[in-house]
Amino acid sequence: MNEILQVKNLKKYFPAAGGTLHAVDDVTLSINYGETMGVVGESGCGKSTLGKTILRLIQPTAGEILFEGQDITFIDQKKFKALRPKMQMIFQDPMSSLNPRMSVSQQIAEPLCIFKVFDSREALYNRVLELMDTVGLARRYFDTYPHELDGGRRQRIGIARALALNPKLIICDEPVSALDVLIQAQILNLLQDLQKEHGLSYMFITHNLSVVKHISNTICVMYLGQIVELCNTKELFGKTLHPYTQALLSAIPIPSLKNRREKMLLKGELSSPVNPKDACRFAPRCPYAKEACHNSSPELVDVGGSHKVACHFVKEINGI
Amino acid sequence: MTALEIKNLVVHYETPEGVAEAVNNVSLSISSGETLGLVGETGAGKTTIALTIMGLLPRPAGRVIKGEILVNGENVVETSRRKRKLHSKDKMLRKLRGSSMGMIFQDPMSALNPVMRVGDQITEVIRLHGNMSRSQSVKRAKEMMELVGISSVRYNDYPHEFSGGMKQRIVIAMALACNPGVLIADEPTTALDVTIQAQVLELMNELKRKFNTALLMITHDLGVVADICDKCAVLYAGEIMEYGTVEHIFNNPRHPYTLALFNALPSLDKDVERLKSISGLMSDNMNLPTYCTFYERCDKRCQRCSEGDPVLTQIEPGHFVKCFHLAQEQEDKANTPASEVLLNE
Amino acid sequence: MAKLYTPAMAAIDRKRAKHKGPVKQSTPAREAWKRLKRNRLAIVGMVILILLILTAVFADVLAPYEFDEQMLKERNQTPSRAHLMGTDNYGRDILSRVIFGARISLPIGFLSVIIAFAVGGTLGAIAAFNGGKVDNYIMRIMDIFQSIPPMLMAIAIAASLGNGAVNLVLAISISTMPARSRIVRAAILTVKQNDYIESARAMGASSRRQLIKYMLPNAIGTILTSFTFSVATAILTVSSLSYIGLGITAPTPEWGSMLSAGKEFMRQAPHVLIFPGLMIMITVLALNLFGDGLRDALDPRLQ
Repeated sequence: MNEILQVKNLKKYFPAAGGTLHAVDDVTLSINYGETMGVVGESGCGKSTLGKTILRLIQPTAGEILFEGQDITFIDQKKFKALRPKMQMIFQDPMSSLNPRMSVSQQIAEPLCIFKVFDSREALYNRVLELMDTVGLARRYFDTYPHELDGGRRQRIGIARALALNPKLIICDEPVSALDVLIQAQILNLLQDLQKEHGLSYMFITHNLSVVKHISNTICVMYLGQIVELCNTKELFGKTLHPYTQALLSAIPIPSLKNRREKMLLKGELSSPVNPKDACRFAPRCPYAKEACHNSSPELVDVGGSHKVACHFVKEINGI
Repeated sequence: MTALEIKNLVVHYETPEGVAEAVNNVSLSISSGETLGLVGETGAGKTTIALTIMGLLPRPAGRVIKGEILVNGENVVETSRRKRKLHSKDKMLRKLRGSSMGMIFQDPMSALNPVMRVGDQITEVIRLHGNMSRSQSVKRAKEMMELVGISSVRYNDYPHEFSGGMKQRIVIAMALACNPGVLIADEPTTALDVTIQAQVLELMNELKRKFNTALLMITHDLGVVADICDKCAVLYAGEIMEYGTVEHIFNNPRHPYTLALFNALPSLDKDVERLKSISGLMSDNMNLPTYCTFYERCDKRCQRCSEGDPVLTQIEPGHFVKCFHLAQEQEDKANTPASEVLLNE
Repeated sequence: MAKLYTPAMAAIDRKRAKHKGPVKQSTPAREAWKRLKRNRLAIVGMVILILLILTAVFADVLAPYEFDEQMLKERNQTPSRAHLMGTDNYGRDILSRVIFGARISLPIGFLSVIIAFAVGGTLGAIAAFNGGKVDNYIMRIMDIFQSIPPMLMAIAIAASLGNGAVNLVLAISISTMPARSRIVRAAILTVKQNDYIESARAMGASSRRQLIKYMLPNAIGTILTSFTFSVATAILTVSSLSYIGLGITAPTPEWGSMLSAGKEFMRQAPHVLIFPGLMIMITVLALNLFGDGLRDALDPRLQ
């Protein structure tokens, strides 16, 4: 078995004004041991909801989540707690995800205390110091508080905390979005090093395609709750097939004056998937949309080389 | 024609903990129809510069210590405290704020009044600054809405009925309603999604050309600068480290800090196994060193860098760098006695 | 270019490194104290409050006379060297009575607020933490309580229970309980929205742990601030109830009842009224000043 995590037809619906919000709608994906799955999409595409549903911070509506082959979709919270050490989360805003009333050492020790890993205070402190070394936090910050540190160091606390229980899977929800580029590079390097050393698997949720390209093995592009394209990173950037992914790629401002590409400007804006009808959700903004797109929802199909695309006209558009 | 010129601007924040030197000796100029990108990390002083130009520095903490800001040749800052209190100056500034300069904020939601119809908000700006009748102003507001790509049918809608991108379009319409000569955009697309960002940038580019506005684009995203700017200033710890045209900055970046910024960016075109990052943090602006502010993070530092503060030096026409090494190189190349060509002097 | 790292540079680096560490520990509480110290009015309030508490504790030592010692020859005397605040119509020393009065007003004020917060606050915390139905039931019951003005309710309770300090405490705590539960509920609801609560859940923290280690420490600032304001209100209520004869009765020297007793002699001997009135005013003012400072010091938005 290669997959640490398998998600099958996962759905999460929220009651919303005027109907049901299909935040995550029929998402199927899997993450292999030691690999990184990047989940990209714009705000409201359901990428965060997906991550939180996998960690059962939000209860799924339907579908299946298998962690190391074990179905965890609807098991009760007590049983799930036993699995928590193996799957941890890193949050976007390191300031608001750290308790302002706890010192650095207390924050990092928290998961160890919750699961009563150590009997003696000394062993606990040694582990905390070890974790601080692992994530590159100087020991002199042991007793400081989050408000005294900068964003990069705060995020290191978040990472140390996630690592404390030797997890196998870490869900990173926009872990570098709130950071400046120089710090972002440090944190990305750290995450990569940790992956190599500890054999971690990541689900890397972000809106930043360059970051996701840098760190992921596989990428899943989401639009309004659904996966529109899913394949390995090289393939995606070499052969972008879905019109949304193409538009997304072309919209990224490139920090270079050479090889500038023609922008493919999308019309309209993201809507929210409240009571979606049976149609391609991207159709209203798609430059290639035809009648069929407004009448039926495309399936995510393999177009060869485990490159999956959800588009009726993928062959016509890309000439394959 | 130079629409906006900043000369040797020094801005401090006086807080109970001490004096924060937010902006140190910044000089730049933008001509009409030109866009200057001001790049830097959090805390580099980008927003302080924007607020100073607009006369919106938080009082009493924020204080302009030195320098001039010329908008269409007229100085809009007064460094002395006494003069600032004079009403005439305030009145003049208020008039300038809408008619000669406009500002676009990062968060379009908080820039709009939630209980006022968007059309009325645009009309009000026009009424305050242009000498137009009510009906003329409304007509002009509707024109502006159409111009930024929003149907004037939505004149009577409230801000919450618009999406983020649409709200930013309305803010742009408000900023441009009086046809200001200078437009200051403080991270206008940071809160927006990539596809929407592309639309808004396109719109700003188009309008800038149409109105022949000088645009000061504040951003942390080098990609945005490459997209729409003509000139670029790299800000670090309140100082300009490198200044030049986008060609200079992107094709021939010279300052170690600029290079570090480029190296730290994950690229879409190249495959890089590991990003190059530099350690350390930006110097605390409450406790700036007397030597080069980038010294501690610089991979080219030498003893000279720890002894004095370099000045912004021209290394090729229009390309300025604040670094001893590059100044030295330039000197060696020219083989002339020390001639430090200063900006604006 | 060759990298030159001279001893002089190394010295500078060492100096800078030394300058940076060891990092001085600064807990959130210490930060708040630093901000509070900067607020002069709050410190004035705090000092007055401490003096008042000390007065109450050492009333026996401080008071020149017994509070019920009647010197019938010296009735309604204006302030003099022997009686710094004068005497009342029974010839009792007003200064002594005012000093002993602190022993009544302060404990009743504090105690009633503590009880109101203990009961109401717990209910509010339970409501906020659980949300949904539990929240709805608890808060609707509180709504029913709150539909009666607290003062009226306090009068009704005090009237039915009879006079006495204990009954007064009960009357005030019951009548203000709904308002206190709302304060705690709102504080916890605000804290609950933060990401760190979600991160605690992701770590597997139990509900109890979330409440005790995450929500309460972060809500305590708001609660503490409203606590000081509540004590001020409670002291006013004690005095008001005593004034209308429902609280502490003579000869116990409660400031409100002293006012009430003195009102008949307002024209001849205004000092009988002025000094207890002044004490109420100073106490309430001190509490409010301190509460204001506390709010500013604890408000994270001002950081």
